[in-house]
Amino acid sequence: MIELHNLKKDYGKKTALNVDSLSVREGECIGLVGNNGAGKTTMLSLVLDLIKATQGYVTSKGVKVSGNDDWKEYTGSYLNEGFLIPFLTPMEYFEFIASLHGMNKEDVISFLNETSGFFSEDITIKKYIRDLSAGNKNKVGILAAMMWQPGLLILDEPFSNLDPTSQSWLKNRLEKLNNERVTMIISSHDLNHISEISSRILLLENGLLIKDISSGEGTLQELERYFSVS
Amino acid sequence: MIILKLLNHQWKENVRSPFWQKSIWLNILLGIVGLYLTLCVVSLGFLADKILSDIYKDRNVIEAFTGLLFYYFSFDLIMRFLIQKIPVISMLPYMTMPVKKNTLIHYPLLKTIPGFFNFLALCLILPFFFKVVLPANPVMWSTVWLVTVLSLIAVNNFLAFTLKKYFAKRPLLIFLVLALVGVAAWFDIKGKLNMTEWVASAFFFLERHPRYGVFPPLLALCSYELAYIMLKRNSYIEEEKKSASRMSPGFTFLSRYGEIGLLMQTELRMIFRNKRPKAVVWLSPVFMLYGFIFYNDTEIGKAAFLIMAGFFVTAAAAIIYAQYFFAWESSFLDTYLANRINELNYMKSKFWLFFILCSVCYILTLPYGFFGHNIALINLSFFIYNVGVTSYIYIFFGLFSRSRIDLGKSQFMNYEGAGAAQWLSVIPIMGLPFLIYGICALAGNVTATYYIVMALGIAGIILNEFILALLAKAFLKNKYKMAAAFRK
Repeated sequence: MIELHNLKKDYGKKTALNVDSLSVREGECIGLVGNNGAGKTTMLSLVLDLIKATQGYVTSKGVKVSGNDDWKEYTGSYLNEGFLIPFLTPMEYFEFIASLHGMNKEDVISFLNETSGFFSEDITIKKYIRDLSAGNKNKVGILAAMMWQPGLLILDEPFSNLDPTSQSWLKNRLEKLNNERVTMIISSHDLNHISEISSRILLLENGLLIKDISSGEGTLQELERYFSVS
Repeated sequence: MIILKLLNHQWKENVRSPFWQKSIWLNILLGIVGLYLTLCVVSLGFLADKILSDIYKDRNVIEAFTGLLFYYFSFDLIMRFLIQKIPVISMLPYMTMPVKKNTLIHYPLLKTIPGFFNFLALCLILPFFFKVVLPANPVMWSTVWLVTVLSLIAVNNFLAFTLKKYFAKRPLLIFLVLALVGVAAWFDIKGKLNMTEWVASAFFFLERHPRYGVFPPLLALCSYELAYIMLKRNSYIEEEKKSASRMSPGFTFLSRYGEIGLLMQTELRMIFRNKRPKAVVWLSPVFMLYGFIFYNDTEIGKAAFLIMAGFFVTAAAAIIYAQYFFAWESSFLDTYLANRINELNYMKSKFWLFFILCSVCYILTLPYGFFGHNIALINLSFFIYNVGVTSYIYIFFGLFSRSRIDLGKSQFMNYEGAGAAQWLSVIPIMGLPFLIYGICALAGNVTATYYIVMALGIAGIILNEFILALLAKAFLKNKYKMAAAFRK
């Protein structure tokens, strides 16, 4: 579904990402792990055509993502606060995203009722997004990305800033989506969660893809061994 | 000494401020403007005796100057109220440290003493004092005069903070003060109420009885104490409670108009829910007043001014808002890039927003038509020109915005978002109408300017789809650089 071809991104002299080739199949759940500066966010930004590749290109369903908007029809994403509109209330934001994807207000409300276990406060809260806590901002972004049932979901560190209950809710939700054959690319620092939900783990180090393993028994131990300081 | 450390941090804060790191040319320009203003004020102080003896032929110059200080201090207080910031936010990192709370409150207050307004006042008063007051009066008398004036500057400095705190939720009250001063001035000019004389005689009373001269400094201390108490009471971090009733308009009706309406709705919400864009839009009526200066006098020789006025008046809000097109959205442009938004619709939403802002300005400035049918023609042609030509130029230059805007900061002296694009855009935007005027003036028919300008506007409106499609293409080319710069 997603293919990276000889992809390279430089910032000045520093190479942030350099991946020869990578292919994500439909229905896969990719867990992207790596320390800070490994190139996770760079990779996701390239897949979402937010930054321009220095070399190579990304295709989604066989079409280059840059210069073409077709992928936006089926790609839901939340990378960071830059995806939120700070002066809207959560509800206004959901409605904004919803109408871009042809949903109406009723669809939004039924989605929010269904996911009410996630957002700890009343989602119809009369508060601007900029005044929400970091965790709640994160939740708004994640919910908006999933709301319109995209076939491909891209999340950057979705578990950060979340309380334990929300983390476990999100984990279950993502597992459920994966069972429904939604393709996912999710980066995380939480090795436990990511090895549980992912069918395949990609490990980045200094912009290079150094491990590409299918997840199963022993994956967690392998990752823990890699990340432990010796 | 903790105060010294705090001062050191303050110095670093100023020197390392992103404000200075913008562009060396902008800094030089600001420096020149600042120097020019200072020189103007200093020479006003030096020449005050000449000017005043010309106006008030029969009055003592010192008396006249002292009396006029009433108006100076009134406007000084109003300006301070509008512009000076309560120095409280920067305390936050120190509040949990072992620093005495009193220090943390005295410090920001004392920090305001070397401020812009105090500097301005000294530039005006010291030259006059040394040139006129001191040579003509006994030293004691002069000293009391100076101490009184300096105390009043201090009173204004500290009182402004207290007032600001109390009137923060009722900013319109300042217009009441403004009106009162205006009424006083009117009566003063009509000779019914001698405000300036009263103030002058109050001053001279102090000079004649120097022992009462301690009162003004005491007043200054009181105003300091008041500001201190106010700051101390507000030195806790409190989350401001925002109730539902304080929500700004949602422009929900716009969502009926498809993607363009949706984008405009979001942009309008942005304007009315954030400090800086809101200030920009509320400031625009000031630009509309330009007309009173230039339209009053309609000699042909002043046609160049008429063109400038026509241009500004009919697009005041649009121009000062549109110069930061796209940069306003810097904190959330990624939302637009990652979601399905048609770039042509995005450009259209910008155009329609510009059109709406222009229309509001045009309608508000229709009464200028009373100055003559000539003015009505100028306004109409520039309205059409701004919609059909200026709009595209601003959208185009907006695509070259490369600096992020923090929506929550105040507008005053804020050059965030200003870059080469904003400076360069002035050339075609102002240059084109003047070029047309120049050609027409050489050909001996100034009125033709208005028709040509109008024709250009109409052509621009007819070619709307075509031009916006070109801009949409340019957007696709520029979006990576723009978004990358905005993320910083």
